[in-house]
Amino acid sequence: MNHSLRRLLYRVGPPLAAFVLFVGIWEAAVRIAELPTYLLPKPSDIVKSALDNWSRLLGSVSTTLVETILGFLFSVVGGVLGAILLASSKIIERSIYPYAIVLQTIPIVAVAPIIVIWFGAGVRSIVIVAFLIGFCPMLSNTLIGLNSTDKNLKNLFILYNATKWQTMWRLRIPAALPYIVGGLKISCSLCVIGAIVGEYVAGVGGGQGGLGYAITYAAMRIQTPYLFACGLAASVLGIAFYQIVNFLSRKWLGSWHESEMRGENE
Amino acid sequence: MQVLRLDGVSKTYPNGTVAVQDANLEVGEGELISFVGPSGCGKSTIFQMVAGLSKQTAGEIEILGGSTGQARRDNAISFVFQEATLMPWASVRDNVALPLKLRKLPRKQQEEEAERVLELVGLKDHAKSLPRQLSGGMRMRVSIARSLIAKPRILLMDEPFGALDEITRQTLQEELLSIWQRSKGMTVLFVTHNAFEAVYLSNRILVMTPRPGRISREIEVDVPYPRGEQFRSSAEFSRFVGLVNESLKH
Amino acid sequence: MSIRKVGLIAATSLFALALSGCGQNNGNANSQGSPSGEASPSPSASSASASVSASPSAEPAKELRKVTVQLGWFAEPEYGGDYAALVKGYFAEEGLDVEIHSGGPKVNGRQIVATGKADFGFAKADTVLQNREEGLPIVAVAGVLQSSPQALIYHKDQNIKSFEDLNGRTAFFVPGVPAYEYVKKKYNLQLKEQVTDGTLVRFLEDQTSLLHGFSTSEPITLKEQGVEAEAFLLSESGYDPYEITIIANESFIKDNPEVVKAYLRAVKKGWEYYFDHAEEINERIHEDNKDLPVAAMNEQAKAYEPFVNGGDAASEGWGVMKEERWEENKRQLLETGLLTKDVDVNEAFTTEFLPE
Repeated sequence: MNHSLRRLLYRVGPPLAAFVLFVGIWEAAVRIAELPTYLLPKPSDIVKSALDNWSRLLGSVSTTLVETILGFLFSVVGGVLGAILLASSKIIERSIYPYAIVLQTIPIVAVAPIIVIWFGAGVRSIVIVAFLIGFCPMLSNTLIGLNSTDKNLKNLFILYNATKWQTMWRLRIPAALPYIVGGLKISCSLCVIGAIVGEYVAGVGGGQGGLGYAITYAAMRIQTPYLFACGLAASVLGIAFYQIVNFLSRKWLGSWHESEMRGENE
Repeated sequence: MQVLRLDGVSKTYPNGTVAVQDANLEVGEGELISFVGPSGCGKSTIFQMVAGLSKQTAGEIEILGGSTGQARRDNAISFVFQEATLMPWASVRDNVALPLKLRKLPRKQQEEEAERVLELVGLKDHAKSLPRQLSGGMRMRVSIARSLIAKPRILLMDEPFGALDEITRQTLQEELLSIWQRSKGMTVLFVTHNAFEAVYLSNRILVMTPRPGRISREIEVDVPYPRGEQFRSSAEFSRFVGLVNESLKH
Repeated sequence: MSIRKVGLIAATSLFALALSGCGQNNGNANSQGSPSGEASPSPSASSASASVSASPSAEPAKELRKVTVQLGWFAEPEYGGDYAALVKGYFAEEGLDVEIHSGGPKVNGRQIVATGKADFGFAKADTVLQNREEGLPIVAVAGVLQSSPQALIYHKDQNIKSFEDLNGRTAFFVPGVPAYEYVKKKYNLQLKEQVTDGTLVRFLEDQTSLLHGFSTSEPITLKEQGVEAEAFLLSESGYDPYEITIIANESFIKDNPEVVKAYLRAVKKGWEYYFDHAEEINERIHEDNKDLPVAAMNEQAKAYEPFVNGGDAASEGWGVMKEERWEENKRQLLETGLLTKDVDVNEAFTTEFLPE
């Protein structure tokens, strides 16, 4: 077999094999122990319930997906712009940054119902919840990045009479990219969790409920296989999202930053 | 024509350290001057003051008849540091064109000038490469190319070859001489702790000693250019090096 | 083995033991002092070893059998029978040491009974059918409310006369309640839905909203808050299964038929006592639910009376359930897709343990 196929197998093979083994053991164990489905479903039950309720599941996933994406986009834009603002002046940073920290510590569980009261039930509120959760790491990481510019490069820009804005746009922001990407990785996972927990706590119901509601409903109805299916869907969503961010990270940093460069020793 | 004048320049830090004491110097157009001395002798401090990065506590510095700030604003002086200080995310060409980009010159002009200076340092084929793909010596060449793009009257170099191996260093020394000679009257101020390097390159050497940092001796190296390998292995070369080392001991 | 390792293992084992203990001993620790789950003893409750009030049916000085009851919601007058039996010692007379656990919006009583963590619980008839389809081995042994007070509560000034008038409003609902879903499907209602968190706050904020609850409780609680509200009964749609049936686990029933009978006897007696002495028993219920004032409970008790004692219960006795009602309900569920497979309803309920 050719080289790239062999490399693919080398990377994907072991985790795939572990997965198959795990699923196999789970299926066998539940069958042998004859555990009731509503307590611990078999993988085959989970797959079946996912297929039986495919359109419902897909609907919930797409609602959560939309909320997550929107929340994430707003966090990124808000976080980066906010950080640029804070980084442009020490006084502004010192006056505003402490409040950003406070924002970070507010628990979603307390905030989500209030957001729903203010903004009404629906996608809008959950997007706001997801935004609130994803915003802080974006802000923090970007700010650290903007403040971590190499001193020599900064001097170089001074020597070449760069204006403050030129220094920000051409030096500090590109130099902060590794930190921004770090923030993206954290924030994307948090946005998924935030959206689902927000749905769960805010209790938006029916068709607009998303995965958080689907989980609530399945728990109420004791439709445990479907409950698991929803949980797995949530994981898949989180993983997919993370992979996209990872891909972007490689694309933007792969050529020049240690964090993404593949060494010869791999 | 005089391009640089230091008149009784001193720099004392708030904690009492005297980095530079009473430096007096006149540099003419087209000279290649080296500042040689051990660490702490004040050579880098003088560099910083001439560059306008730090302010002297006494004395006067005049560049091309004006202040250091003015010279910088006019892009009349340019700099090369020991670290190449390239933007890792930008290509060689973009790195080199930075001074022009900051002056908001049109893109076409940036590209033309970038090509010109890359040719000067022999890196025309690497215009699109990224810094991490280059060796230490090549990165230093990019740094030099960048410093040349705005056609400066005075080039300040602070131990630019200090981090490189001997062979690369000698190659770059030759290239530097070649570039300097081809330039129309560019003055070079070169800071180094390496006596051999100072003798090979300069027409005048300022030996500095520390505690307090002062210019203890001026040595004229009246050997004509171009200087080649044979100069390096000549008796004259050794004599000058000897002179420098002797002065360093005082 | 070093001392540190021994210490670590000991600590870990103790910790694990404590954790496992927490699961089971939840009740047992409390039951010495009083049979209920709460700390304060009630005046007439008898403790495990104290002399039992004279009663012909119990063997003297027999050790009481521990029984756990999981309520389906917060402690309220709809569980009056159990509390009366507790307070008046009817459980003790039957040889039972009963512990009552409160429920709530996130507590799933049916699962708790199905897994054996409680002996008795409560469920609607339609939920019993649905849960059995998911494999839960629960069976209804008595029908407490002969008709369903499930309703959508609305602010009095709203003009709601028919199901269509409910359309387009915000509804705070309890997820997974078949009556609600049946009504939504049948009348094709589009509602802005939000899961209720058990409080009335959001309903109070929105004048046009609907609150999913019981006609026998929420309107009265709201009145206490000074809010006038009316109830739109879901049973108006023709969907009217037994509400609040007492459920138990199939294996528990098989292994302990006498306990089931004893329990139901005590509860029936409790209900007979309750309506004439509601204030007295409500004091006890209030201890388990401080958020509901006794005055409101007294009003609710009056509202529940016809539900408990009316219908077939009036002619055939407390707790009776009819096969026709179960069949009708099953049909409605199948019709609307709330149940997927046809089943024999006689497996889902039984009246064999009801007292004569």
